[in-house]
Amino acid sequence: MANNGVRGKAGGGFPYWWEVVLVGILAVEFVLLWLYFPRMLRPKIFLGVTINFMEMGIIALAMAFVIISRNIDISVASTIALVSVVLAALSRYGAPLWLCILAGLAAGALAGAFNGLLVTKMRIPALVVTLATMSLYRGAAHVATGDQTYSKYPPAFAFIGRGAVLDVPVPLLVFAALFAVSWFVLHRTTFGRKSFAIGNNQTAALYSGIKVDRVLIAIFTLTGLYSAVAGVIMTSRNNSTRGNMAQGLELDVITAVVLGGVSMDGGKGNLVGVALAVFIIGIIRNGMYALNLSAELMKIIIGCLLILSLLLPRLSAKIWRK
Amino acid sequence: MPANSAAARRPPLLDPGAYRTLGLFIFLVVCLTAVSVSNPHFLDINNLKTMSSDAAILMLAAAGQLLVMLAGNIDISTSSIIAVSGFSSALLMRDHPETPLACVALLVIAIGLVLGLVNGVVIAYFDVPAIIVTLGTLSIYRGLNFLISKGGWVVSRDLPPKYTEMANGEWFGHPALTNMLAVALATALLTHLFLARTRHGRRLYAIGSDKANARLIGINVPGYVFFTYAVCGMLNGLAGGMWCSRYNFAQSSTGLGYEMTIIASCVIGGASVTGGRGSTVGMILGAIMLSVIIHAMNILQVSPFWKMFIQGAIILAAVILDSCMARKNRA
Repeated sequence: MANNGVRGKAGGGFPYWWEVVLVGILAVEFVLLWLYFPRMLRPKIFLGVTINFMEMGIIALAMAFVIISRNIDISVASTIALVSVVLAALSRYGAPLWLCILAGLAAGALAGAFNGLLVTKMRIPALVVTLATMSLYRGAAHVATGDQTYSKYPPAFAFIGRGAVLDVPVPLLVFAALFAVSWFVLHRTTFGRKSFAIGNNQTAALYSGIKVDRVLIAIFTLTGLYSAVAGVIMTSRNNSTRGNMAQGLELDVITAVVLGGVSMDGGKGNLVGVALAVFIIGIIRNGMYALNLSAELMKIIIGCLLILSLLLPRLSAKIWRK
Repeated sequence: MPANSAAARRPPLLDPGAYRTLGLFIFLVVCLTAVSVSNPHFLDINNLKTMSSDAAILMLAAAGQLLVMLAGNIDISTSSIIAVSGFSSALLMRDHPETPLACVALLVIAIGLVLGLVNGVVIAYFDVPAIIVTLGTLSIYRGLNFLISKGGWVVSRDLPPKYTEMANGEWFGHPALTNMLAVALATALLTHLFLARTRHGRRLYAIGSDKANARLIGINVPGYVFFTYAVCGMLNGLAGGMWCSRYNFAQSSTGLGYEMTIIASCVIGGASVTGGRGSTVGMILGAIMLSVIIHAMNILQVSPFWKMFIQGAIILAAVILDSCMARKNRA
């Protein structure tokens, strides 16, 4: 990551055939599932299991944009709590369901836009901004809920998190739809190209006429919005709002994006890889639940996975150079 | 710069850093006065002891964070390092009460060092973003602490009386002048001397200001980055030992979320998160100020749920202020 202006691709990112490796890892996981938990491979059960990690997957799609543009957003899990509190507050005052959800999505987008404005207009590094708003949003959620849990949502609300259309859970459908949209935007539109350009070299992007600030604000707002979608789904799935909900989810999200082959140096990544990594991590998590591992042990394993996937491209680059 | 501009003719009385220090100092005095007017017991000996102890532990941890931040990195795994070292020291004391305190101190420093080294190797020698690595180790070390503690705790009943002396031992018979305060002040003094009086300290500033140029003039950048994480780990290990010894109690969730307080005290004290700027004096004032604010919130019976929100708001306010000042200076 030498700051020598023109950054070569050497040393950054996974090799281009990384998706093949990811498919391989996924295949190994399925074989392990087949050996140890064959029940989980029944289509209906497997589809049902996916709802446990779709929130992570949805945010990972937006986080890919953020990391590709060489930023970071660690406030996503706190945004979920904030959105859920907005849902709870409106639902408590008897607002109709569609209004609650709309307000929740708007709150998430606003939270993301606030991050984006501070990053671009105030020139504060994204890391600091989102580190601060991580506390700020989570703190606001805690202040609003105290140590209470709100769970008096109307029964119809449960459809979003726990409903299914033809045995396909709604969260998986939402993920698939958002994946299709995000993939198209990232890989087939100028907005996507601009995101890559900013991540490769922000100054060069600026001088070539890209409105860097606008693109970055859009990316952060998008991340807030996707976090809000995840927040609505999570609230509906658990039928509850708590101040500490989704705590630590940013670790899983960032792990999925990095494992998915998006380079932390910016400007490199593929949404297909991210989606594969989401399933890899989701299946690992579910396998760990099935093995009854403690939540703490899972934290260690996911953390190690993150650091390994950070180290792998560096190591492989060092080996290639020799 | 044009020769006739106001700034050129009349140099500022103090450099910007000194203004900030002065501002913090005034804010601190105003804060103390305001709270003690609304609650006359605020400056009681018990409250003073609480605040001095809070500030001491915060200073210890923030001194390490300051070094890391000066070189342009960040360490958010510190609260987990505090938990692991603190719990280990309590376990050692519970199972082997005859161990001398010096050995306990060495143990916590060694544990901190090992955990800091892991961060350091990955960040310095593989050139991976510090925030992501330490986000990972924040989880890993916290999980490690749950494994050590099995989710339980060590209470004062199981601990020998001398354990709590490590942090709470009094100097000159004054309850607010504790061992941990002495250790923290000594550490702060050493940090200040290191940063302001040695070439190694200057080099940290150079690395934080411009990593590529620092490398070009022959500074061993990875070596120094590695060093800052090692020191940060050691100081946080020590802070963890002091933490558990202070309360005479260790649990699996010690210091959860404390990394934000540590970073906040550096940022309030003027440390730039992009590196190259910051001072020990500022860090000390930041640590004292946060300890006073947090304690004042307890005294004024503000709900503890506000704490996280206010910490986030303080960090944000500090960096926004910095950004505005930087823009003004550039204009």
